Amino acid sequence: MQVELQDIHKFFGPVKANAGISLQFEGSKVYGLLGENGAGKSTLMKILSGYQPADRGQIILDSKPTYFVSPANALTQGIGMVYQDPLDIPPLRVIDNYLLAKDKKLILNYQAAKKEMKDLLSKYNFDVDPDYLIESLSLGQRQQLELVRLLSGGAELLILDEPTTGISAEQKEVLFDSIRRLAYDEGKTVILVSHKLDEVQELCDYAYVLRQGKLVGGIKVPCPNERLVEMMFGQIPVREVRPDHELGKTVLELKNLSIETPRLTVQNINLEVKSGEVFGLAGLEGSGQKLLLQACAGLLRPSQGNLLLQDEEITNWSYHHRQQAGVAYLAAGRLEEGLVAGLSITEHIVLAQPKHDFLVDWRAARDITTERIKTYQIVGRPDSTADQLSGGNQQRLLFSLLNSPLKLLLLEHPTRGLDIRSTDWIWGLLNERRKDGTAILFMSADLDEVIERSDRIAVLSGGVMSRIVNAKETTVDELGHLIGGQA
Amino acid sequence: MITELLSLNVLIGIATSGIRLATPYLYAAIGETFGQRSGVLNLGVDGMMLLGAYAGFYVAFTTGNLWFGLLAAIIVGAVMGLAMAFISVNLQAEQGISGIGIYLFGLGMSDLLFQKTLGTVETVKGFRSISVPYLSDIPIIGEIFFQHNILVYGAFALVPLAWFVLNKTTLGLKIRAVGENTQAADSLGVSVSGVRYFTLTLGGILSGIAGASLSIALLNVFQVNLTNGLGFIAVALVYFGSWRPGGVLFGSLIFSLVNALQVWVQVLGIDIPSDIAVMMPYVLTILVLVFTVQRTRPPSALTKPFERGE
Ligand SMILES: Nc1ncnc2c1ncn2[C@@H]1O[C@H](COP(=O)(O)OP(=O)(O)OP(=O)(O)O)[C@@H](O)[C@H]1O
Ligand SMILES: [Mg+2]
Repeated sequence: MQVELQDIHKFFGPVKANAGISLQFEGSKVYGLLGENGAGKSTLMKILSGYQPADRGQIILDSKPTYFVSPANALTQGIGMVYQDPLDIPPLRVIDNYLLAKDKKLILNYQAAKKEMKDLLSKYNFDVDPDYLIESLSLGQRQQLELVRLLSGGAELLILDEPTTGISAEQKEVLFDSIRRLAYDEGKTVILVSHKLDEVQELCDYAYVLRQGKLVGGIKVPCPNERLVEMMFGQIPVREVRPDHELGKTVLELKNLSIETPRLTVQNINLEVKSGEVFGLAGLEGSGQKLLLQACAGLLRPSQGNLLLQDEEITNWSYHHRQQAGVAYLAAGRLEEGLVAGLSITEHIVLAQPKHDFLVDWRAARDITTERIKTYQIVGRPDSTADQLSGGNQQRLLFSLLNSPLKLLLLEHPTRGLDIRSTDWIWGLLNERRKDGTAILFMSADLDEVIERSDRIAVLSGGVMSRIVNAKETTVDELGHLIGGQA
Repeated sequence: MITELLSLNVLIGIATSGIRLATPYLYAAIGETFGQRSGVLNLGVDGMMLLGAYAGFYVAFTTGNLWFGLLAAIIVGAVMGLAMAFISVNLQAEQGISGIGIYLFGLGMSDLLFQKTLGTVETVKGFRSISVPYLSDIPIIGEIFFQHNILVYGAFALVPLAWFVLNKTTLGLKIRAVGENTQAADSLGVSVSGVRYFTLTLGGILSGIAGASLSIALLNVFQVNLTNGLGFIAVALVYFGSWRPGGVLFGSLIFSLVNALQVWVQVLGIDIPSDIAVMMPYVLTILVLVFTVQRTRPPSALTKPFERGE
């Protein structure tokens, strides 16, 4: 299938998300779509998949202009998209979700559907049980379910919006294999929206780069990384060297901490994080890093052991109590756990203020907001609501809500979904906080990030913590071994 | 016959009673608005109103003091609101079911207490009308708007007040945040349970006053099932008003005006079967709901209990 986008425009108020973009895609090829946060990638792909209409411009399929009224309609014409947040219905079973969009008959034929689905799943080595509830699936599995659903709906062009954020390394391999297979064996077109240059280099044949709503150009990959970076940002951003820094007294201490949940038990964690230190937690998704952070934040009650904040026992302090004492926690699910979709930037900033008067001083709040928008370089207006911001800008907003000074900062995937420049920028911000003596404990799925940004590192594997390693002396290989559970 | 309806006096009469009759709807629906904006659907409004109506009436009847009656209604409403909060916040019960439980409890309990303490239908002299100086002298307008009792004025004053609290105060912002996304509000340092306790208690108090407005200000009697489902209409009015006090005001007025019209139709002996006349406001509600509600989005966390953790 030949797909062409012609002169696509999409404005959100004053924001020009797409300003006249023209692209072509051919069959049997994997395309990368690159661009910094807020460049307009998701917007463009949502237009191509019928999720939202363009203000101006045309979509041309096999030289015929066409028009999509909905994603379902686009799928009937061969275009399917796996969104950044999967659009499935969590309380249902996998098989119900699969049938929902497909079976128009009155009586559902579960037997046949299950067989069909299982065949498809095993064809691509996907590992999803049709009888499971969506809620119990990992993000990677939900993605696989979406893919299978789109394929069975007849998708010829598949769009994947940042598919590798939040899935395990294994799932990533499976995904990449299936993508290659779809393109090279089955002649389909695949578009991969991503920030990760390595992935694009590894997987794609050709890459388009967007910047500020416009197409910068296209380039055959693999190609030198610097070429892509330059196209994305207009220049090659200088990397700040991580400043060395004296560590202070112990801020956080975990003594024999255990956490029990129905799915996983985290056992006997002993750990100290010092003032000004960055401590990284590595491990496969669901190995207990998140539980550990949540226990430190006061969101989960440990079943055993003690937590000390600057030598003070805080094991039984509530979340809000700890917040007031200078502990902050940033969750990974930005729109699920961190931000309120319908509220504006200003309203978020008001809510996050440590002190509240009965009346909101909206004028003052607007001033603070304008200032924060500037310092945190958020692309948005004070009255933009959280769901209108691009993923990267949502992350910046989250950071702008943190109060200072903080004693302890707990971060879950602090730079997930951010482009290289934003990532560097966020870490610059965090390093500033280190200077103020904040202790930082963070988890990340990106081993390079963990090694590069931490002072010390611990790996969790099945709820058990490895020995603590010094970041300067370790390698991705060593961490990989520890992640696999080998000492 | 129809021409009789169109005479000026009758029209003024309909408008005046329309304003009066909006009172209980306003109290109850504004209270419910607060609850729903914080993400709790309270279907027990009618039961809370019944108990408030009973308590208000009984205390006013025995002490002879209407203000004591009103206070009793407020206390009873607050207790019921706290109960609803405990059930939905601490026990995390299914909100639809627990609300119906509260309703049935209020219905049964007010009946039982009525039988035990009063036994027969009595009357009290309710709150008297207060003419607003100067304003009540304006022809037509004065008669329609400015010759009512204190609870009627209170109900209308509540509307801008509620709007102000929801949109201009920190508390209002917290309420809206909790109603949209409990998890995120929590992480921003808002106490989800605190906010919901507040809105539900406030809702209970306003339901109590709504009940009392019937028993000691508008009808001045108490009898079994005095509210006749009015509390459920109030819940519908919140949807009708798209969770905004102004919308609720608009809905309450339409509803009470049609109700007033219906009463006048019967009073004037116009030849429409009375059953049909009585049905009119309800049919209207359903129609209006069908045609308006889909266009607005309810608070995203409505009916969702909040639990921390994984
Ligand atoms: N529904 C919306 N309402 C208002 N503005 C929007 C909306 N959707 C996107 N935008 C704006 O359009 C611009 C492009 O957003 P888009 O989501 O396409 O970026 P992106 O390239 O996918 O970025 P990211 O890498 O951060 O996901 C952003 O400035 C964003 O704030
Ligand atoms: Mg995006």
